[in-house]
Amino acid sequence: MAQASSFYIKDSTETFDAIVVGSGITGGWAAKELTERGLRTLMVERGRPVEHRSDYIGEGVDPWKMPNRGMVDLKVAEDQFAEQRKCYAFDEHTKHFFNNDRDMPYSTPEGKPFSWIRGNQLGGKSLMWARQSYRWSAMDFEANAKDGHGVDWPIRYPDLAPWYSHVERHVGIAGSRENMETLPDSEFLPAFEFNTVEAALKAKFDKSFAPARMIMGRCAHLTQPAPHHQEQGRGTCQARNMCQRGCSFGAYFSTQSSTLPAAVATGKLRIATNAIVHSVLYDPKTNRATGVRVIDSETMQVREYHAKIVFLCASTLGSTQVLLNSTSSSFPTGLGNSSGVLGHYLMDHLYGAGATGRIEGFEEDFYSGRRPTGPYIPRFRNVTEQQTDFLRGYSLSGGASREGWQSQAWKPGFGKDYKAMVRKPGAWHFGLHGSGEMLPRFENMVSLHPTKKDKWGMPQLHIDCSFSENDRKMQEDIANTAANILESLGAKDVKKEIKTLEQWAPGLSIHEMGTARMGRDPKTSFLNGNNQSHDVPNLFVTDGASMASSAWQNPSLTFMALTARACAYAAEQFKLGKL
Amino acid sequence: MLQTEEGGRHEPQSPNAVRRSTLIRLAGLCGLALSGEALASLASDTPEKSKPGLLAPDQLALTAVLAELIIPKTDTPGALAVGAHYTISHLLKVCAPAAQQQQFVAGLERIDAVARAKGGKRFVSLAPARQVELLHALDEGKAPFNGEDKNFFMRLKSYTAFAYYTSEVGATRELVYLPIPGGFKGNVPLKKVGRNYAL
Repeated sequence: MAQASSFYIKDSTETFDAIVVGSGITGGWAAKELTERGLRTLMVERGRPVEHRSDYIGEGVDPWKMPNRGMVDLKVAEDQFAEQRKCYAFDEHTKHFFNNDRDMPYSTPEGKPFSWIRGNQLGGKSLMWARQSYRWSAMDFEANAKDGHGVDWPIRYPDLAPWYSHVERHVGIAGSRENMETLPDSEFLPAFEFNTVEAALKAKFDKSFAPARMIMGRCAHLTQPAPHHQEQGRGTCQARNMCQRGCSFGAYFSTQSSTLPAAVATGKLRIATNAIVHSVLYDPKTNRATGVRVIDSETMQVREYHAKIVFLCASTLGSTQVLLNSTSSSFPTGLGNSSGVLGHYLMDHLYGAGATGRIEGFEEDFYSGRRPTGPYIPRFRNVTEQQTDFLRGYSLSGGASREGWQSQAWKPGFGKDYKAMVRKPGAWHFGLHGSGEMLPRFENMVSLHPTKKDKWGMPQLHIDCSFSENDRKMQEDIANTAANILESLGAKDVKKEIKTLEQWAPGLSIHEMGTARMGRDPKTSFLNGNNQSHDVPNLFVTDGASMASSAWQNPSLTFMALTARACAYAAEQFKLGKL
Repeated sequence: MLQTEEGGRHEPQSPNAVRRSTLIRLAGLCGLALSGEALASLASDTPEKSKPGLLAPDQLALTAVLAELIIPKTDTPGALAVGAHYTISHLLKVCAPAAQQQQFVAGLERIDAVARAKGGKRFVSLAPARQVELLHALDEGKAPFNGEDKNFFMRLKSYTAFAYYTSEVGATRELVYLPIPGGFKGNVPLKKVGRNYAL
């Protein structure tokens, strides 16, 4: 792509057609879709610019050339990354893509921890996301209506299906066609391979547990780039699996590799970085959002940007924080909050439960490369009938690998024999871990702290979130079921695991959703079926904040499809003069 | 890189390497203590050598001897040649919490205390055979050591392995280093790869 630097602005008197707040997965999509539909768009990002390739400073650096061999200086980690350091992707190669917790604090009630993992730079968390990409199914959009938890989704699967296709073709999703009702197929590039042990266990599993099936995890990687991917400057995945450092091959989807080049190519995009959105500007006479007020993160200068449409794509809690801080006499508790639900019904996914076991044999088999995904068992619990004493269900994911030097090193011995032992790969192990649906509950909520502010004067978010009885029962079932599956497939030394609250607080799955939910009724929901504010027609929220339930799939692909669909609607309404 | 007649791999020995192996052999043969200074002249190319470290010279010397006993020179260089002790000392100082630092130093002191109790000499001054004998007891948590000592030795082994296998020699010569694998293949005979991957 052309150097984006020529598109950066600081001050502007222009009234843009649209402002997009945030530049991560949904912000990038909104910028692409709106500019491609002819709207002059300003993307506003609170963090610094990150250029594709040249700013991936941790990429491709050999461990012996890193100051601390990949480990983060403890003092730096404790002082500046107290929460971020809990994320699996946080290390010396990636720490510059993680939020500085000292500068951007938040509060939680005593005994109710919440891990808010953030990426505040151009590209947001799209640079470090785990890239798992799954469609929701008909069952998932019907779940709230069926059991009464949460409000009914204002859309159904067929409403979103074409938009899944739309984003998938651009993103590039590696996966296999399976024709499963619980997990509709995407537009696929070739799937990654199973290794020998996984292939053997898959054959057994599919036979013993039908209709459940073990498939290869679907991910936003170019296993075989199409011509339009190559035109974007994207290339084939090299199976490094060090994606969170940034990928100069452009082989995984990120704002930088995929949506930003497309938006820039239209000539209609401008980008303001280091611009912290303080609030959305609102004109009560017209009942319209008129722009955003921003604080320059470096100079503390306050500026305004103006536009005819405002899209909030600042992350689930980021967007809600801005809305809560956008108060007026019309909306004293936050812009568009006549329903009073803004900040409520926060969800994450239930991780941290599963099982692992040792697989005997296959001693002559190995693999090559570091596959950036693994085997996946789509939801099988409570699908056609209610089987358990908890509602909804979960997926299992994991895979098989041989023990590397990191595990071998803990084994008995020392000296020549020990060195020779570590040189060889050890036994095969197979793991299965859950991703469970968390029910939307009113009491899981965020609010602005009455007194605490960050160094830019923004009120801090107060996050009050906990797991429920349903969540805990599901985690038990995940661990038991994973262990049963492994045992029935012949695994030895099967060990169950359920992480404690201290080990895995809500938020750490980094699938936070809800707090500005979609719904049919303006009295009980914040957004309508087009991700449009019920109250303020030119205000849209298309990130995870809009979710009315969490389902059990990794949500990013759904965020993308919702964003693209909302942009098409907004652009159409804009051209009709209705916004 | 040369192929030897045995099919093993080695690089022509630099004067530095010759000096190193001479020193180590001498130290081993004579039961000489490898002083901090003597060790400082070894592993001169290790990046952590010039960085701040946790360990005092005597502790660094003991760590160097223990690390080389854990991962010795074979057909590839050992822990001493890659300066694993400097890496461990540096990472302990920069990345380890205070409790872990104290445990490590206490573990070293305990090994020396046992060595002294058994013959009046510090561990580094013992004959190599005697060092190996003590380490076997340590590895198994048997007398004169105990279970807690065994846990320390496991941690020391993991530190040594980390320092060694993340070094250039450990990653690229002892193991298979594939920074850019070029794709994923799920079914590759082990004999084609031969060794564990460094990454």
